[in-house]
Amino acid sequence: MVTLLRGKRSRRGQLRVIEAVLAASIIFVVFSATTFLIYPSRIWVLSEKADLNVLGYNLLHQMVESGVIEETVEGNETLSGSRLKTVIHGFLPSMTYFELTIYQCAEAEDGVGVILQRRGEPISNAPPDTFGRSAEVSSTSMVYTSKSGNIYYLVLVMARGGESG
Amino acid sequence: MQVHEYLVTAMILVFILVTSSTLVYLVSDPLRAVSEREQLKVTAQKLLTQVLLDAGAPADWGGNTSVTADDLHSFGLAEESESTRTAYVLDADKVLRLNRSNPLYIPIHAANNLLGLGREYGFALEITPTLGVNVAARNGSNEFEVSLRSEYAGLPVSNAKVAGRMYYLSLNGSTPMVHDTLLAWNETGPDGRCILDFGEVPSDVKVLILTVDHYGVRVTKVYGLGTLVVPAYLVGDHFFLDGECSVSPSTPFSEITVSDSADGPCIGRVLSDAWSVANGSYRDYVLAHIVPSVLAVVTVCERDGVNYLALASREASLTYSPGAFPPPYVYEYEVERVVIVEGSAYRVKLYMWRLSW
Repeated sequence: MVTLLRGKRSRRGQLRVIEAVLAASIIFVVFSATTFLIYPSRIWVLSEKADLNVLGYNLLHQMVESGVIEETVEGNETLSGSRLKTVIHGFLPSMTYFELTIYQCAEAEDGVGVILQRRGEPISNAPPDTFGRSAEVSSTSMVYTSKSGNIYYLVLVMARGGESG
Repeated sequence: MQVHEYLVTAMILVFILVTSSTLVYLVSDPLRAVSEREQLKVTAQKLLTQVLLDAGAPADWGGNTSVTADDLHSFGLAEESESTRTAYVLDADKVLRLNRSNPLYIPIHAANNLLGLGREYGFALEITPTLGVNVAARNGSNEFEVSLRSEYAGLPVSNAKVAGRMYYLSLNGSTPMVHDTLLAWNETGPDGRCILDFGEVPSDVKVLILTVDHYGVRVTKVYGLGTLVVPAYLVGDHFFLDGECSVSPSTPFSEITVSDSADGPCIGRVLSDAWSVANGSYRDYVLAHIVPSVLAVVTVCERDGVNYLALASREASLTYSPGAFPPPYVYEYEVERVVIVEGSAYRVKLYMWRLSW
Protein backbone atom coordinates (compact mmCIF):
# COMPACT_ATOMS: atom_id res chain seq x y z
CA MET A 1 0.00 0.00 0.00
CA VAL A 2 2.78 2.43 1.05
CA THR A 3 4.81 1.55 -2.08
CA LEU A 4 1.74 2.18 -4.27
CA LEU A 5 1.21 5.65 -2.70
CA ARG A 6 4.89 6.55 -3.12
CA GLY A 7 4.69 5.49 -6.80
CA LYS A 8 1.65 7.75 -7.38
CA ARG A 9 3.35 10.74 -5.65
CA SER A 10 6.51 10.20 -7.63
CA ARG A 11 4.50 10.21 -10.90
CA ARG A 12 2.71 13.39 -9.80
CA GLY A 13 6.08 14.97 -9.04
CA GLN A 14 7.36 14.03 -12.48
CA LEU A 15 4.19 15.46 -14.00
CA ARG A 16 4.81 18.77 -12.18
CA VAL A 17 8.33 18.91 -13.58
CA ILE A 18 7.05 18.19 -17.11
CA GLU A 19 4.38 20.89 -16.63
CA ALA A 20 7.06 23.38 -15.56
CA VAL A 21 9.21 22.53 -18.59
CA LEU A 22 6.15 22.88 -20.87
CA ALA A 23 5.27 26.22 -19.27
CA ALA A 24 8.84 27.46 -19.79
CA SER A 25 8.71 26.33 -23.44
CA ILE A 26 5.43 28.18 -23.97
CA ILE A 27 6.96 31.34 -22.42
CA PHE A 28 9.99 30.97 -24.71
CA VAL A 29 7.78 30.56 -27.81
CA VAL A 30 5.72 33.60 -26.81
CA PHE A 31 8.89 35.65 -26.30
CA SER A 32 10.28 34.60 -29.67
CA ALA A 33 7.03 35.40 -31.45
CA THR A 34 6.83 38.80 -29.73
CA THR A 35 10.39 39.63 -30.74
CA PHE A 36 9.68 38.62 -34.31
CA LEU A 37 6.60 40.83 -34.38
CA ILE A 38 8.20 43.85 -32.72
CA TYR A 39 11.68 43.83 -34.27
CA PRO A 40 10.86 44.29 -37.98
CA SER A 41 8.55 47.24 -37.33
CA ARG A 42 11.20 49.44 -39.07
CA ILE A 43 10.84 52.55 -36.98
CA TRP A 44 14.02 53.90 -38.57
CA VAL A 45 12.26 54.23 -41.90
CA LEU A 46 9.87 56.77 -40.40
CA SER A 47 12.58 58.99 -38.88
CA GLU A 48 14.78 58.81 -42.00
CA LYS A 49 11.86 59.70 -44.25
CA ALA A 50 10.96 62.65 -42.04
CA ASP A 51 14.56 63.85 -42.28
CA LEU A 52 14.59 63.41 -46.07
CA ASN A 53 11.40 65.46 -46.35
CA VAL A 54 12.97 68.33 -44.39
CA LEU A 55 16.20 68.01 -46.37
CA GLY A 56 14.20 68.14 -49.63
CA TYR A 57 12.42 71.30 -48.55
CA ASN A 58 15.76 72.80 -47.45
CA LEU A 59 17.28 72.08 -50.87
CA LEU A 60 14.35 73.46 -52.90
CA HIS A 61 14.16 76.52 -50.65
CA GLN A 62 17.87 77.32 -51.05
CA MET A 63 17.66 76.80 -54.82
CA VAL A 64 14.83 79.25 -55.30
CA GLU A 65 16.14 81.78 -52.75
CA SER A 66 19.63 81.82 -54.29
CA GLY A 67 18.24 82.39 -57.77
CA VAL A 68 19.56 79.08 -59.10
CA ILE A 69 16.42 78.53 -61.18
CA GLU A 70 16.85 81.88 -62.94
CA GLU A 71 20.53 81.16 -63.61
CA THR A 72 20.06 77.64 -64.96
CA VAL A 73 16.55 77.20 -66.29
CA GLU A 74 15.52 80.60 -67.59
CA GLY A 75 16.91 81.82 -70.88
CA ASN A 76 17.68 78.27 -72.00
CA GLU A 77 15.44 76.54 -74.50
CA THR A 78 16.71 73.21 -73.21
CA LEU A 79 17.11 72.68 -69.50
CA SER A 80 20.76 72.70 -68.49
CA GLY A 81 20.71 69.47 -66.48
CA SER A 82 24.45 69.24 -65.87
CA ARG A 83 24.59 72.75 -64.34
CA LEU A 84 21.70 72.04 -62.01
CA LYS A 85 23.14 68.66 -61.11
CA THR A 86 26.43 70.27 -60.01
CA VAL A 87 24.57 72.80 -57.87
CA ILE A 88 22.37 70.15 -56.24
CA HIS A 89 25.43 68.01 -55.51
CA GLY A 90 26.89 70.94 -53.59
CA PHE A 91 23.80 71.14 -51.39
CA LEU A 92 23.13 67.49 -50.58
CA PRO A 93 24.91 65.13 -48.18
CA SER A 94 26.92 62.28 -49.67
CA MET A 95 25.11 58.98 -50.37
CA THR A 96 21.84 60.73 -51.16
CA TYR A 97 20.08 59.97 -54.42
CA PHE A 98 17.85 62.59 -55.98
CA GLU A 99 15.65 63.17 -59.00
CA LEU A 100 14.45 66.67 -59.73
CA THR A 101 11.70 67.23 -62.26
CA ILE A 102 10.83 70.77 -63.30
CA TYR A 103 7.46 71.60 -64.77
CA GLN A 104 6.54 74.99 -66.15
CA CYS A 105 2.97 76.13 -65.67
CA ALA A 106 1.31 77.48 -68.79
CA GLU A 107 -2.18 78.61 -69.66
CA ALA A 108 -4.34 75.93 -71.25
CA GLU A 109 -5.63 76.37 -74.80
CA ASP A 110 -9.14 77.01 -73.54
CA GLY A 111 -7.76 79.92 -71.48
CA VAL A 112 -9.37 78.60 -68.33
CA GLY A 113 -7.13 75.90 -66.87
CA VAL A 114 -3.39 75.54 -66.34
CA ILE A 115 -1.23 72.85 -67.91
CA LEU A 116 2.12 71.59 -66.69
CA GLN A 117 4.88 71.26 -69.27
CA ARG A 118 7.95 69.33 -68.24
CA ARG A 119 11.22 71.23 -68.79
CA GLY A 120 13.71 68.69 -70.16
CA GLU A 121 14.50 65.33 -68.67
CA PRO A 122 14.48 64.82 -64.89
CA ILE A 123 17.87 65.63 -63.30
CA SER A 124 19.10 62.67 -61.32
CA ASN A 125 22.17 61.00 -59.86
CA ALA A 126 20.39 57.73 -59.11
CA PRO A 127 21.00 54.43 -60.91
CA PRO A 128 17.88 52.95 -62.58
CA ASP A 129 15.22 51.55 -60.24
CA THR A 130 16.89 53.07 -57.15
CA PHE A 131 13.69 54.61 -55.90
CA GLY A 132 11.74 51.40 -56.45
CA ARG A 133 14.18 49.41 -54.32
CA SER A 134 14.81 51.95 -51.56
CA ALA A 135 13.30 51.35 -48.15
CA GLU A 136 12.39 54.99 -47.78
CA VAL A 137 11.74 57.53 -50.50
CA SER A 138 10.67 61.11 -49.90
CA SER A 139 8.96 63.43 -52.33
CA THR A 140 8.96 67.19 -51.86
CA SER A 141 7.36 69.70 -54.16
CA MET A 142 7.31 73.47 -54.43
CA VAL A 143 5.64 76.06 -56.63
CA TYR A 144 7.94 78.95 -57.50
CA THR A 145 7.34 82.15 -59.41
CA SER A 146 10.57 83.46 -60.88
CA LYS A 147 11.55 87.13 -61.12
CA SER A 148 10.48 87.16 -64.77
CA GLY A 149 7.01 85.88 -63.87
CA ASN A 150 7.30 82.25 -64.95
CA ILE A 151 5.65 79.73 -62.66
CA TYR A 152 7.50 76.49 -61.97
CA TYR A 153 6.42 73.34 -60.20
CA LEU A 154 9.46 71.56 -58.76
CA VAL A 155 9.26 67.93 -57.68
CA LEU A 156 12.22 66.46 -55.83
CA VAL A 157 12.38 62.74 -55.02
CA MET A 158 15.15 61.58 -52.70
CA ALA A 159 16.43 58.37 -51.15
CA ARG A 160 19.38 57.36 -49.02
CA GLY A 161 22.11 55.39 -50.71
CA GLY A 162 23.12 51.96 -49.38
CA GLU A 163 19.65 50.99 -48.15
CA SER A 164 17.13 48.82 -49.90
CA GLY A 165 13.82 47.48 -48.83
CA MET B 1 9.23 12.00 -3.76
CA GLN B 2 12.79 11.08 -2.96
CA VAL B 3 15.39 13.61 -1.95
CA HIS B 4 17.17 13.32 -5.32
CA GLU B 5 13.89 14.08 -7.13
CA TYR B 6 13.53 17.29 -5.11
CA LEU B 7 17.10 18.17 -5.98
CA VAL B 8 16.52 17.55 -9.70
CA THR B 9 13.30 19.61 -9.57
CA ALA B 10 15.12 22.48 -7.85
CA MET B 11 17.93 22.34 -10.44
CA ILE B 12 15.42 22.38 -13.31
CA LEU B 13 13.64 25.37 -11.76
CA VAL B 14 16.93 27.22 -11.35
CA PHE B 15 17.84 26.38 -14.96
CA ILE B 16 14.45 27.68 -16.18
CA LEU B 17 14.93 30.87 -14.18
CA VAL B 18 18.44 31.50 -15.54
CA THR B 19 17.42 30.69 -19.13
CA SER B 20 14.36 32.94 -18.93
CA SER B 21 16.34 35.90 -17.61
CA THR B 22 19.01 35.39 -20.31
CA LEU B 23 16.28 35.24 -22.96
CA VAL B 24 14.65 38.38 -21.64
CA TYR B 25 18.02 40.16 -21.81
CA LEU B 26 18.76 38.84 -25.31
CA VAL B 27 15.36 39.93 -26.57
CA SER B 28 15.21 43.34 -24.90
CA ASP B 29 18.79 44.56 -25.36
CA PRO B 30 18.82 44.91 -29.19
CA LEU B 31 15.36 46.47 -29.06
CA ARG B 32 16.54 48.95 -26.43
CA ALA B 33 19.59 49.83 -28.54
CA VAL B 34 17.46 50.34 -31.66
CA SER B 35 14.96 52.43 -29.74
CA GLU B 36 17.69 54.62 -28.21
CA ARG B 37 19.34 55.17 -31.59
CA GLU B 38 16.01 56.16 -33.08
CA GLN B 39 15.48 58.50 -30.16
CA LEU B 40 18.92 59.99 -30.85
CA LYS B 41 18.05 60.55 -34.53
CA VAL B 42 14.73 62.18 -33.74
CA THR B 43 16.33 64.36 -31.05
CA ALA B 44 19.10 65.42 -33.45
CA GLN B 45 16.59 66.36 -36.16
CA LYS B 46 14.50 68.37 -33.70
CA LEU B 47 17.59 70.02 -32.28
CA LEU B 48 18.85 71.15 -35.69
CA THR B 49 15.41 72.55 -36.49
CA GLN B 50 15.47 74.53 -33.22
CA VAL B 51 19.02 75.81 -33.82
CA LEU B 52 18.45 76.84 -37.46
CA LEU B 53 14.86 78.10 -37.45
CA ASP B 54 14.58 79.75 -34.04
CA ALA B 55 16.09 83.15 -33.24
CA GLY B 56 16.59 82.36 -29.55
CA ALA B 57 15.59 84.60 -26.68
CA PRO B 58 16.26 87.47 -26.51
CA ALA B 59 15.95 87.44 -30.30
CA ASP B 60 18.68 90.07 -30.78
CA TRP B 61 21.25 88.24 -28.65
CA GLY B 62 23.76 88.07 -31.52
CA GLY B 63 24.45 91.77 -32.04
CA ASN B 64 23.49 92.89 -28.54
CA THR B 65 26.79 93.02 -26.67
CA SER B 66 25.09 93.39 -23.29
CA VAL B 67 23.59 89.88 -23.63
CA THR B 68 25.88 87.18 -22.25
CA ALA B 69 25.38 83.41 -22.00
CA ASP B 70 23.75 83.88 -18.58
CA ASP B 71 21.09 86.19 -20.08
CA LEU B 72 19.97 83.74 -22.77
CA HIS B 73 16.61 82.04 -22.26
CA SER B 74 16.71 79.90 -25.40
CA PHE B 75 19.30 79.10 -28.05
CA GLY B 76 18.76 79.59 -31.79
CA LEU B 77 20.82 81.05 -34.64
CA ALA B 78 18.09 82.27 -37.04
CA GLU B 79 18.18 85.89 -38.13
CA GLU B 80 15.83 88.10 -36.17
CA SER B 81 13.23 90.06 -38.08
CA GLU B 82 10.27 92.11 -36.93
CA SER B 83 8.10 91.41 -39.96
CA THR B 84 8.97 88.45 -42.20
CA ARG B 85 11.62 85.85 -41.68
CA THR B 86 13.23 83.65 -44.32
CA ALA B 87 13.84 80.06 -43.37
CA TYR B 88 17.43 78.84 -43.06
CA VAL B 89 18.95 82.34 -42.94
CA LEU B 90 21.28 82.65 -39.95
CA ASP B 91 22.41 85.73 -38.06
CA ALA B 92 26.16 86.21 -38.61
CA ASP B 93 26.64 87.73 -35.14
CA LYS B 94 25.04 84.71 -33.49
CA VAL B 95 27.13 82.30 -35.54
CA LEU B 96 30.37 84.19 -34.88
CA ARG B 97 29.71 84.17 -31.14
CA LEU B 98 30.16 80.39 -31.30
CA ASN B 99 33.82 80.97 -32.17
CA ARG B 100 35.97 80.25 -29.12
CA SER B 101 38.23 83.27 -29.77
CA ASN B 102 35.29 85.73 -29.92
CA PRO B 103 35.24 88.04 -26.85
CA LEU B 104 31.51 87.35 -26.42
CA TYR B 105 31.78 83.57 -26.92
CA ILE B 106 28.79 81.47 -25.84
CA PRO B 107 30.23 78.35 -24.12
CA ILE B 108 28.88 75.07 -25.51
CA HIS B 109 27.79 73.84 -22.08
CA ALA B 110 25.51 76.91 -21.86
CA ALA B 111 24.00 76.05 -25.27
CA ASN B 112 23.67 72.42 -24.12
CA ASN B 113 21.65 73.47 -21.09
CA LEU B 114 19.53 75.98 -23.04
CA LEU B 115 18.62 73.26 -25.54
CA GLY B 116 17.55 71.01 -22.67
CA LEU B 117 20.10 68.29 -23.42
CA GLY B 118 21.49 68.20 -19.87
CA ARG B 119 23.91 65.37 -19.18
CA GLU B 120 22.16 62.93 -21.48
CA TYR B 121 23.33 64.13 -24.90
CA GLY B 122 26.30 65.96 -26.34
CA PHE B 123 26.43 67.84 -29.63
CA ALA B 124 28.80 69.62 -32.00
CA LEU B 125 28.14 71.98 -34.91
CA GLU B 126 30.31 72.25 -37.99
CA ILE B 127 29.75 75.13 -40.43
CA THR B 128 31.60 75.01 -43.76
CA PRO B 129 31.14 76.73 -47.14
CA THR B 130 29.18 74.67 -49.69
CA LEU B 131 32.12 74.87 -52.10
CA GLY B 132 35.74 74.11 -51.29
CA VAL B 133 37.83 77.20 -52.17
CA ASN B 134 41.60 76.97 -52.28
CA VAL B 135 43.84 79.99 -52.99
CA ALA B 136 47.56 79.84 -53.75
CA ALA B 137 49.88 82.79 -54.50
CA ARG B 138 52.00 82.37 -57.62
CA ASN B 139 55.73 82.85 -57.03
CA GLY B 140 55.15 85.35 -54.23
CA SER B 141 53.45 87.75 -56.63
CA ASN B 142 49.98 89.27 -56.43
CA GLU B 143 48.72 86.68 -58.88
CA PHE B 144 46.54 84.07 -57.19
CA GLU B 145 45.32 80.72 -58.44
CA VAL B 146 41.81 80.03 -57.19
CA SER B 147 40.68 76.41 -57.21
CA LEU B 148 37.05 75.37 -56.63
CA ARG B 149 35.97 71.85 -55.72
CA SER B 150 32.73 70.31 -54.58
CA GLU B 151 32.97 69.23 -50.96
CA TYR B 152 32.07 65.54 -51.23
CA ALA B 153 33.23 64.19 -54.51
CA GLY B 154 36.07 66.72 -54.82
CA LEU B 155 34.99 67.38 -58.39
CA PRO B 156 36.14 70.64 -60.03
CA VAL B 157 33.49 73.36 -60.18
CA SER B 158 33.53 75.03 -63.59
CA ASN B 159 31.79 78.18 -64.89
CA ALA B 160 31.85 79.87 -61.50
CA LYS B 161 32.35 83.65 -61.49
CA VAL B 162 35.19 84.57 -59.13
CA ALA B 163 35.82 88.17 -58.05
CA GLY B 164 38.47 89.47 -55.68
CA ARG B 165 39.81 92.70 -54.27
CA MET B 166 42.77 93.39 -52.01
CA TYR B 167 42.89 95.94 -49.21
CA TYR B 168 46.39 96.90 -48.13
CA LEU B 169 48.21 99.10 -45.67
CA SER B 170 49.59 102.17 -47.39
CA LEU B 171 52.29 104.19 -45.62
CA ASN B 172 52.50 106.89 -48.28
CA GLY B 173 51.85 110.34 -46.87
CA SER B 174 51.65 111.40 -43.25
CA THR B 175 48.99 108.95 -42.00
CA PRO B 176 48.80 105.21 -42.69
CA MET B 177 45.66 104.33 -44.68
CA VAL B 178 43.82 101.30 -46.03
CA HIS B 179 43.84 101.36 -49.82
CA ASP B 180 42.20 98.95 -52.25
CA THR B 181 43.16 97.45 -55.60
CA LEU B 182 40.98 97.26 -58.66
CA LEU B 183 38.40 94.49 -58.72
CA ALA B 184 39.85 91.38 -60.36
CA TRP B 185 37.52 88.80 -61.77
CA ASN B 186 37.60 85.61 -63.79
CA GLU B 187 35.62 82.45 -64.50
CA THR B 188 36.70 78.93 -63.56
CA GLY B 189 37.54 76.56 -66.39
CA PRO B 190 36.72 72.84 -66.73
CA ASP B 191 39.44 72.06 -64.15
CA GLY B 192 37.74 74.37 -61.60
CA ARG B 193 40.69 76.81 -61.62
CA CYS B 194 41.21 80.43 -62.58
CA ILE B 195 43.77 83.17 -62.03
CA LEU B 196 43.18 86.51 -60.34
CA ASP B 197 45.87 89.09 -61.04
CA PHE B 198 45.93 92.18 -58.80
CA GLY B 199 48.94 93.77 -60.51
CA GLU B 200 51.31 95.87 -58.44
CA VAL B 201 50.38 96.15 -54.75
CA PRO B 202 52.78 98.47 -52.89
CA SER B 203 52.56 96.67 -49.52
CA ASP B 204 53.07 93.27 -47.91
CA VAL B 205 50.36 93.91 -45.31
CA LYS B 206 47.13 93.10 -47.08
CA VAL B 207 43.76 91.41 -46.93
CA LEU B 208 42.26 89.40 -49.79
CA ILE B 209 38.49 89.27 -50.20
CA LEU B 210 37.12 86.64 -52.57
CA THR B 211 33.61 85.95 -53.71
CA VAL B 212 32.45 83.06 -55.85
CA ASP B 213 29.12 82.91 -57.66
CA HIS B 214 28.14 79.50 -58.96
CA TYR B 215 24.76 79.83 -60.70
CA GLY B 216 23.41 82.00 -57.88
CA VAL B 217 25.08 80.15 -55.01
CA ARG B 218 27.56 82.53 -53.38
CA VAL B 219 30.60 81.60 -51.31
CA THR B 220 32.87 84.26 -49.77
CA LYS B 221 36.35 83.99 -48.28
CA VAL B 222 38.51 86.44 -46.32
CA TYR B 223 42.29 86.01 -46.05
CA GLY B 224 44.75 88.06 -43.99
CA LEU B 225 48.13 88.01 -45.77
CA GLY B 226 51.38 88.75 -43.99
CA THR B 227 52.36 88.77 -40.33
CA LEU B 228 51.21 92.33 -39.71
CA VAL B 229 47.50 91.50 -39.97
CA VAL B 230 45.96 91.13 -36.50
CA PRO B 231 42.58 89.53 -35.80
CA ALA B 232 39.68 91.64 -34.58
CA TYR B 233 36.04 90.77 -33.94
CA LEU B 234 32.86 92.49 -35.02
CA VAL B 235 29.76 91.90 -32.89
CA GLY B 236 26.81 94.06 -33.86
CA ASP B 237 28.32 97.54 -34.29
CA HIS B 238 31.17 96.84 -31.84
CA PHE B 239 34.68 96.30 -33.18
CA PHE B 240 36.80 94.45 -30.61
CA LEU B 241 40.56 94.69 -30.83
CA ASP B 242 43.36 93.25 -28.69
CA GLY B 243 44.02 95.56 -25.72
CA GLU B 244 47.64 96.15 -26.77
CA CYS B 245 46.58 97.63 -30.12
CA SER B 246 44.90 100.98 -30.64
CA VAL B 247 43.23 102.82 -33.49
CA SER B 248 43.84 106.53 -33.94
CA PRO B 249 40.60 108.58 -33.54
CA SER B 250 40.93 109.98 -37.06
CA THR B 251 41.40 106.57 -38.71
CA PRO B 252 38.36 105.38 -40.65
CA PHE B 253 37.06 101.79 -40.57
CA SER B 254 36.50 100.12 -43.97
CA GLU B 255 33.32 98.04 -44.04
CA ILE B 256 33.59 95.57 -46.92
CA THR B 257 30.46 94.27 -48.61
CA VAL B 258 29.62 92.04 -51.56
CA SER B 259 26.83 93.04 -53.92
CA ASP B 260 25.47 91.72 -57.19
CA SER B 261 25.94 93.55 -60.47
CA ALA B 262 25.08 92.72 -64.07
CA ASP B 263 28.61 91.34 -64.63
CA GLY B 264 28.63 89.25 -61.48
CA PRO B 265 29.54 89.77 -57.84
CA CYS B 266 31.11 93.09 -56.86
CA ILE B 267 33.22 93.87 -53.76
CA GLY B 268 33.17 97.38 -52.34
CA ARG B 269 33.66 99.28 -49.11
CA VAL B 270 32.00 101.97 -47.03
CA LEU B 271 34.04 104.10 -44.61
CA SER B 272 32.81 104.63 -41.09
CA ASP B 273 34.02 106.48 -38.02
CA ALA B 274 34.09 104.93 -34.58
CA TRP B 275 34.58 105.92 -30.98
CA SER B 276 36.27 103.93 -28.27
CA VAL B 277 34.58 102.61 -25.14
CA ALA B 278 36.26 100.72 -22.27
CA ASN B 279 35.72 96.95 -22.32
CA GLY B 280 38.03 94.75 -20.19
CA SER B 281 41.04 93.26 -21.93
CA TYR B 282 39.78 94.33 -25.37
CA ARG B 283 39.58 97.72 -26.97
CA ASP B 284 35.99 98.24 -28.02
CA TYR B 285 35.20 100.64 -30.87
CA VAL B 286 31.58 101.46 -31.63
CA LEU B 287 31.06 102.06 -35.36
CA ALA B 288 29.02 105.14 -36.25
CA HIS B 289 27.03 103.13 -38.81
CA ILE B 290 27.18 99.61 -40.08
CA VAL B 291 26.12 98.52 -43.57
CA PRO B 292 23.88 95.45 -43.92
CA SER B 293 25.58 92.17 -44.88
CA VAL B 294 29.05 93.43 -44.08
CA LEU B 295 31.63 90.73 -44.86
CA ALA B 296 34.67 92.18 -43.09
CA VAL B 297 35.88 95.34 -41.38
CA VAL B 298 39.47 96.50 -41.87
CA THR B 299 41.31 99.38 -40.23
CA VAL B 300 44.83 100.51 -39.37
CA CYS B 301 45.94 99.99 -35.79
CA GLU B 302 49.18 100.60 -33.97
CA ARG B 303 51.14 98.54 -31.43
CA ASP B 304 54.55 99.50 -30.02
CA GLY B 305 55.01 102.07 -32.75
CA VAL B 306 54.35 99.58 -35.56
CA ASN B 307 51.34 99.85 -37.87
CA TYR B 308 49.16 96.79 -38.43
CA LEU B 309 45.98 95.99 -40.33
CA ALA B 310 43.18 94.92 -37.98
CA LEU B 311 40.82 92.51 -39.73
CA ALA B 312 37.41 91.48 -38.41
CA SER B 313 36.17 88.74 -40.71
CA ARG B 314 32.51 87.75 -40.81
CA GLU B 315 33.21 84.48 -42.58
CA ALA B 316 31.12 81.94 -40.72
CA SER B 317 33.22 78.77 -41.06
CA LEU B 318 33.74 77.21 -37.64
CA THR B 319 33.34 74.16 -35.44
CA TYR B 320 31.44 74.44 -32.17
CA SER B 321 32.42 71.44 -30.16
CA PRO B 322 32.98 70.58 -26.46
CA GLY B 323 36.45 69.14 -27.12
CA ALA B 324 38.24 67.22 -29.83
CA PHE B 325 36.53 67.32 -33.21
CA PRO B 326 35.19 65.04 -34.57
CA PRO B 327 34.00 63.67 -31.21
CA PRO B 328 35.42 60.21 -30.34
CA TYR B 329 32.14 58.53 -29.47
CA VAL B 330 30.99 55.03 -30.35
CA TYR B 331 27.70 56.02 -31.89
CA GLU B 332 26.74 59.40 -33.16
CA TYR B 333 24.18 60.72 -35.56
CA GLU B 334 24.79 63.40 -38.15
CA VAL B 335 22.21 65.71 -39.73
CA GLU B 336 22.96 68.49 -42.17
CA ARG B 337 21.27 71.41 -43.88
CA VAL B 338 22.27 74.29 -46.14
CA VAL B 339 21.89 77.80 -44.73
CA ILE B 340 22.64 81.38 -45.78
CA VAL B 341 24.83 83.64 -43.64
CA GLU B 342 25.30 87.23 -44.90
CA GLY B 343 24.33 86.11 -48.41
CA SER B 344 26.80 83.22 -48.54
CA ALA B 345 25.83 79.54 -48.60
CA TYR B 346 27.11 77.30 -45.83
CA ARG B 347 26.58 73.69 -44.90
CA VAL B 348 25.69 73.12 -41.23
CA LYS B 349 26.35 69.66 -39.80
CA LEU B 350 25.06 68.67 -36.40
CA TYR B 351 26.76 65.74 -34.70
CA MET B 352 24.93 64.29 -31.75
CA TRP B 353 25.76 61.49 -29.34
CA ARG B 354 24.54 60.02 -26.08
CA LEU B 355 26.65 60.66 -23.04
CA SER B 356 24.98 57.87 -21.02
CA TRP B 357 23.49 54.58 -22.18
